[in-house]
Amino acid sequence: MKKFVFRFFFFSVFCSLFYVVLILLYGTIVPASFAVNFNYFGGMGFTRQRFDEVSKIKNVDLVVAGSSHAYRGYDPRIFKKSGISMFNLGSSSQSPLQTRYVLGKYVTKLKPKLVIVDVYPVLFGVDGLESQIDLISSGLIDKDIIALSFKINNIKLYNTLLFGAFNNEFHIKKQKLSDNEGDTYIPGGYVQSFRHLQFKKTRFKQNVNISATQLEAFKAGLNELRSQQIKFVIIQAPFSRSNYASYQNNDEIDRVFSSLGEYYNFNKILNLPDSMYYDDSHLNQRGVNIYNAKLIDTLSKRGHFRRLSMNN
Amino acid sequence: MLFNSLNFAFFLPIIFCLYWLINKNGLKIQNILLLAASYYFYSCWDYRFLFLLIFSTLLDYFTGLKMEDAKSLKLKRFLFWLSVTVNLGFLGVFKYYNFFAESLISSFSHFGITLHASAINVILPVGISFYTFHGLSYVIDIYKGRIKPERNFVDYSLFVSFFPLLVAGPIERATHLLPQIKQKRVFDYSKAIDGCRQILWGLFKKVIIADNCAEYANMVFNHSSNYTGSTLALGALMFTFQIYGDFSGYSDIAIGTAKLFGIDLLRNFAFPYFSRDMAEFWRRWHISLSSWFKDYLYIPLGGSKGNLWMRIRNTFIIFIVSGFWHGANWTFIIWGFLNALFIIPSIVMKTNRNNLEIVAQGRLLPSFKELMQMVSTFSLTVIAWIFFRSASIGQAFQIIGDLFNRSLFTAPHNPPRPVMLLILVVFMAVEWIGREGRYAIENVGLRWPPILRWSFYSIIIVFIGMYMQTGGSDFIYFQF
Repeated sequence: MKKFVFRFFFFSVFCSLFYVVLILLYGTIVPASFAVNFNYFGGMGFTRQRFDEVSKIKNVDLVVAGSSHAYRGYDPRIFKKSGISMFNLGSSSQSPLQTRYVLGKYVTKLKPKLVIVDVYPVLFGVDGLESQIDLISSGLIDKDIIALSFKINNIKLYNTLLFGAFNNEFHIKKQKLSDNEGDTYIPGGYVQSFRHLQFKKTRFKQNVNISATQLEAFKAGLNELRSQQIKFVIIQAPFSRSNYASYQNNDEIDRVFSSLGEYYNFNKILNLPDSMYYDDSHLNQRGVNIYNAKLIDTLSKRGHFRRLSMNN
Repeated sequence: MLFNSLNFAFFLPIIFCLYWLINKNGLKIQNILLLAASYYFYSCWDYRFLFLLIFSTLLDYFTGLKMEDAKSLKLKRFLFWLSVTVNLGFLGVFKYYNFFAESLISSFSHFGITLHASAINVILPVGISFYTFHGLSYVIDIYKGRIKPERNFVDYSLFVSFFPLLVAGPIERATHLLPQIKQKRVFDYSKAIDGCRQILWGLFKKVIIADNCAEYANMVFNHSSNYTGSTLALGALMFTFQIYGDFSGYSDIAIGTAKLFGIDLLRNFAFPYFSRDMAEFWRRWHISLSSWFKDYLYIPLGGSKGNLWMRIRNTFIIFIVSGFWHGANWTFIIWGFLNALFIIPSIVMKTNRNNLEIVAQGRLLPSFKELMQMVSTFSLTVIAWIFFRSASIGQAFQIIGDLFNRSLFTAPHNPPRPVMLLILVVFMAVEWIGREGRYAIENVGLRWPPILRWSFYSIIIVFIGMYMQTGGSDFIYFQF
């Protein structure tokens, strides 16, 4: 029995080391198509560049957090013209679990007077895996990311985390910044695109499901802002009409968000044509120009930006 | 609690350590521990069905004792039929009631008669077909005078409920398992290592082969009318590997787990896809069920004695009943019927016992004739599996109809990742190389230096981590 236990223990140690070595091989020389439960091959949203930049910035008026709707939907240059400095903390498929994390990590440092929490309801129904991988493969690894990874609990995440930890330490692999043609990173965390892709005008009718875990994380994130006395607004940025109309429970979703704080659904405030969209989910630069102008106007009327200007 | 879950990864080492730590305190304590662990394992699915399992155990335990003590043959026979009726009654209610009710309503509706029967909306207790067959074989063996009843209730309960085999077999016999339960176990290092190796290979089969093949098979079978012949063929092929990986993987984990506790379970699979005819296939597929039906149904019906027509009749009966055992659906019955049909030529020509030895034994490659035999047998099993997997007979015929046309020679829609096809090829190669063992990697690397052997096992573990389906899935045979 003793022999068995010892051998088993030594095999476990050997196997763990072997696992690490093979994960390093998967991350460096094995083609991406051969790595199923591993993803350190670069995202679409300049996440690494954004979080590299934010580490050098202090004190802004406005912080935006959320998914690609956030980093493709809020242009710091437009806000600057209105005298508002901002930083965009969006990341690909950022679900409330990660929104809570990025706000918790950067809000104290950035000391914003206002936070825009951009909500894309679909991401309230996901497990947060994709976004978590995006953050890890952008170099963001700390105890909170590790704790959150255990909460999401997926082997793909652990494999990527393992490689990410080594990569942060030894810089084995340089990651691509974005796969998307025509995208340009704009300082302040924004991704600019003038493109308009053809997309389906008809979609299956469906319902948005909100998972209890994501909703709980979202509420906790908002409560943390409240406890630091930072104002926030919840905003749903517009996406294509056909995409929005495919969700049958939009009113129910609006009621949920309204109950959590000051909330604006710009799918109901603005009615933009398809040419203003990059794809069926994201605005292009033409759309952003209109949307951001309307947003500044709306929030100014509510006194938010007036307060920011007075403070400046 | 699934074998491929994190819960089991904690449960097994804890029970293993406790089991061998209390070894000095005696067999009785060890058996009580195993029984408690088994009941806990079962109650993780649904604790309410634990009462059903305990009731079934009590029924067969006391029936066995009373039959032994019965003063008249009449009483013995009464007790025997009581046990058989109650056991099969439970199975009938939980597994077949809705099937019979729906079939009856459907039959009467053809004559314009509308019947109303309320469907019982119950969850099928996991493993009911398996533990019912354990109990039945025990009662039948006592009735036939083959064994004496077990007087120790804990030992008997453990025979029925031993957690590795409780929910999906192998279907054990009292003659094989009970003596092991009653015998003092000594820790055997080689056996424990062998068990770990078999668990590892079983996990690989389930998590990598079955679950990944399931992804494609489900896509095809869930929307079969949308696909061309080549896609349907690939879907059927994927299901063929899925069900093998799933069930033989489960059996390997069960057998390997039992070895950790010093217990040998019956072999359940012997590389069935390398069979040269259907008779050989059925000697190698779900062996514990096939032998159960042979001993308790085929032989009492007359077996291979009697004239040709009787043998053919018995063959059809055993395969149709076996199909029905799998599930309450006509698709399973047709699957059983098809298998009987495929096996009949060898019975008529008396070639059904031609291929008793391992194919190409002692050789690396099969002969051309053997290869052709294996390919044709494999093709027949793929066709039969279409019925097994389809939701209805209509769907099965739709698939077969759409499969055999010109679209069979077009490129399949959305084919699986090339890496998965590569893994499948490597898997079959390892199975082929290891076909003379009890499981494929039993003898792989035994003479290699330890570091090389450990590297081989570690590669399997890395592959599990890299290619497992993150969604996870149940074992197919849990539904039976």
